[in-house]
Amino acid sequence: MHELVKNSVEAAEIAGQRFYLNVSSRFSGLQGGNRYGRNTGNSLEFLDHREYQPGDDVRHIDWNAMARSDRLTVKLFREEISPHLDLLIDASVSMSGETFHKGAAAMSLAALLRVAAYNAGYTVSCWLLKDRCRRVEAAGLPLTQWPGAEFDYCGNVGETITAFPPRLRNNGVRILLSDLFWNQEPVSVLRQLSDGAALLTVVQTLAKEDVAPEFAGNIRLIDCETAEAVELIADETLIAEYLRNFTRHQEYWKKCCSKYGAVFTHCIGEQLLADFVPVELLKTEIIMTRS
Amino acid sequence: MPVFMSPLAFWGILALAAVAAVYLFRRQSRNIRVSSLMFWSHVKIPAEGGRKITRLQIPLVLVVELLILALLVLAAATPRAVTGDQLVPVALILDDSFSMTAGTAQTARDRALAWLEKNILSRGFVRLTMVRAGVEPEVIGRTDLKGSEASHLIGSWRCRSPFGDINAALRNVSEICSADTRVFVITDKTTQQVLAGNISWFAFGQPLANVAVTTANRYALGDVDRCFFEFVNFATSAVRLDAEIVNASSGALLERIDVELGARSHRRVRLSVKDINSEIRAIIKNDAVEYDNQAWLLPVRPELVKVETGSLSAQLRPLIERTVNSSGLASVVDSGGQLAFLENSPPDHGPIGRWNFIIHNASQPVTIRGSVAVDKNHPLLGGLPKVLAAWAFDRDFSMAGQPLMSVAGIPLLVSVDDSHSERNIYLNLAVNRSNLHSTPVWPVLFWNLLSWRQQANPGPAQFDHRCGIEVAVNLPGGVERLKLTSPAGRVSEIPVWRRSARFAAMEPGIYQMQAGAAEWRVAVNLNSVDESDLTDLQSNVHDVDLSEGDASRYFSDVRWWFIVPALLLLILHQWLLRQGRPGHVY
Repeated sequence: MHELVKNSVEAAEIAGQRFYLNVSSRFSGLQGGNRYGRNTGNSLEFLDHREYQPGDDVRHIDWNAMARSDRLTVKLFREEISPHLDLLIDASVSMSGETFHKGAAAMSLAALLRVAAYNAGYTVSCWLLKDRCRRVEAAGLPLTQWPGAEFDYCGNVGETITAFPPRLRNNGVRILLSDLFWNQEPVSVLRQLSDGAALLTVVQTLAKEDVAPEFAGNIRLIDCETAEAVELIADETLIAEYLRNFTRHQEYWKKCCSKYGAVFTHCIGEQLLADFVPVELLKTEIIMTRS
Repeated sequence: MPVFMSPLAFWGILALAAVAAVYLFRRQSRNIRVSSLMFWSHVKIPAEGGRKITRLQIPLVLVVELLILALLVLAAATPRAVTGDQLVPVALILDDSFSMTAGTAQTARDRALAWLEKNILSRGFVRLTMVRAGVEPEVIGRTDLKGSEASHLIGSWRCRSPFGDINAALRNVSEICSADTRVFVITDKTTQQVLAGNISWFAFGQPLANVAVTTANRYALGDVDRCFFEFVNFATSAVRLDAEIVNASSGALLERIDVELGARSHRRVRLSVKDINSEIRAIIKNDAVEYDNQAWLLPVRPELVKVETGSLSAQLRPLIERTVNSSGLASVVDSGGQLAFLENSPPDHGPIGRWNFIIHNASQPVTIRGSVAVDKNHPLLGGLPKVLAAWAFDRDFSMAGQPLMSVAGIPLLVSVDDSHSERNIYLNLAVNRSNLHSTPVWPVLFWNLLSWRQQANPGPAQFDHRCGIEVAVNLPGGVERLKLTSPAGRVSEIPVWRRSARFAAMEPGIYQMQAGAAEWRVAVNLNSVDESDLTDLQSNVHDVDLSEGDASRYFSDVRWWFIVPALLLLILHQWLLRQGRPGHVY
């Protein structure tokens, strides 16, 4: 593992202690669990009273209260949930980038989210997306000790998700960390990932050079995955054209995420590595700061 | 095409290389690894399997800058050019003699052509006059040829003349060209002549050893023909002469010569040929210069003149026949004669081309003994001795025609040409009262008559010629063109004028002629010591610059040709810079 990535991951694990992963309101409490959810459920923990409504379980009628007030009142109990986070990390070569900032940011974000999930009582499964969606068996280990955690896959991760979908746990939170630089229809990817998910979040992890390339003059751009090269004369027009294409791609992902009820956000590697505060994730309240 | 007076300025071309180098180094591409090329979508990437072409991207501004620099360099080289119709007049006198083609690997002509192409013909600012200096000077094409035209026409300079009269060509050029014409003499020998300032003499020859047939002759002697050949070694060292004299008609070898010929010595061969109708050929077999290695000798005896005497009186006929037979030039026939002797009768229209010799035998003549006026320039009277005979004639005789002999204004011998090119000759003579037939005048007069008539027979007058001689051929009536085949096989048609055709025999060998059903052959031999002696050939060649000296007055300064476009390009350059066209990095 690259030294920058290793150092960043270690720092992110420490920084992650300040956050916790927000509990999704869409978790189902039918299965029971080891944690109380936000909704009412079948636990023994009393939550509140309310007037009886047709369809309420008659077993929950508080007969004492009825006797006192002569009104049908039911007891509400908190639900028990078992929150789970599936963390999917794009391990393609493009994630390492020229400066490894993007790869370091992705791994740091994964480490931070994992710690934040643990803080919220989640169980966590991590997946490295390469030619197959490989589950990290020893997910409890520090990320720096994960086997195969290298950005070395030269294929299309979108195709991997579509063709060999990961066996994700039902009713769990799923977070995809990827730069999304692959030619795959987002709909097919999102359909796979959002199926049975309590919440799907797509975090587009980018490097600064992806968002604002600073090229000028004669350049030969080399695709780090395919080694294909093109000769260009870089100027403002060219950069503007690139940004138009990039924005169009990003907007399309946002639109598709919205269609499938997924949350789309992004993360600039260099900014994250500066203070390890995932601002965009905080804004979307995927994670929260611990008080 | 301009000429440049300051060629050192072309070092400025290095500035172009410098600008191009700066451009190339500045425009070296940086390698940048990116996560994906998917967003550089406007870049046209060839389909998989197609041919990838990486084209060097040269911005327009660089091209303009290089053009401006190139134009300025050209302007700095002081270009001068001939403008308008005023071209530099140049005359080329091309030695057309055989010696220009002597040599094995490269001839003087080859060297001269290369020099001409480099120094003269490739110049676009010359007005050329090319004169072929052969037996007679001859202008090739027009007198105002362009270089490209001259390059095309110079192929007709084949060097096939038995000698090159350079001085005649110089005179010819001085007459047809202006005084400021630069004259270049292209030959193979240097000259000791004092030449005018505008004449340049270039010699492209190289000394060569050569053995040649310098003389070939054949004449009739009684029943046999005598042939004479001379072989000469012109080299300054001895050589072995391997030659043959053959009867080309039968293929028989007449004489084989295999001797050592000393330096500049000769070997003469004489032989009698009994087969008077055979073609005799001499061949040198071991000499590299080919054009003088052969000689041809064709039969020399002309056809006898057919003479009719049937109309003569019994008194006159034996006399005429005896005279005719003794000449050896004619034979007496009963009909179909080419020359008819008539007595006191007007000429009838016999066969076309027949001549009539009419003897006006007067019954009441007068006789004189004394001076007779004679036109000795006439072929009938050439070599005629003084007339010292008693001549009886009709004093009242008159005839419209050319009087050749007369006395006291009375014609004695008159030649009349009629419209059919038939000739009538009238002799005013009373034979029985004269003694002309017993004087030397009589046989001479008849020999001249028969010889003249023989020369008018169809066919060439002679059968063996030297190169450069004009061959005359008499033709039967009604023939308009003579088909001529040269020794090289070229066929041409010679127009006929008054039953005669003439052509200049320049190539050694056998010429074949055909007119209707009649065919003739004539042999042409080089027999030229000047063209065979190649030991004095010399070389004197140097490059010439036609733009130098007096010729420079034809050139004007044309720097503006380059400066004006450079200024226009500079304006374009500035406009491009102000436009700041996207996609171009300057």
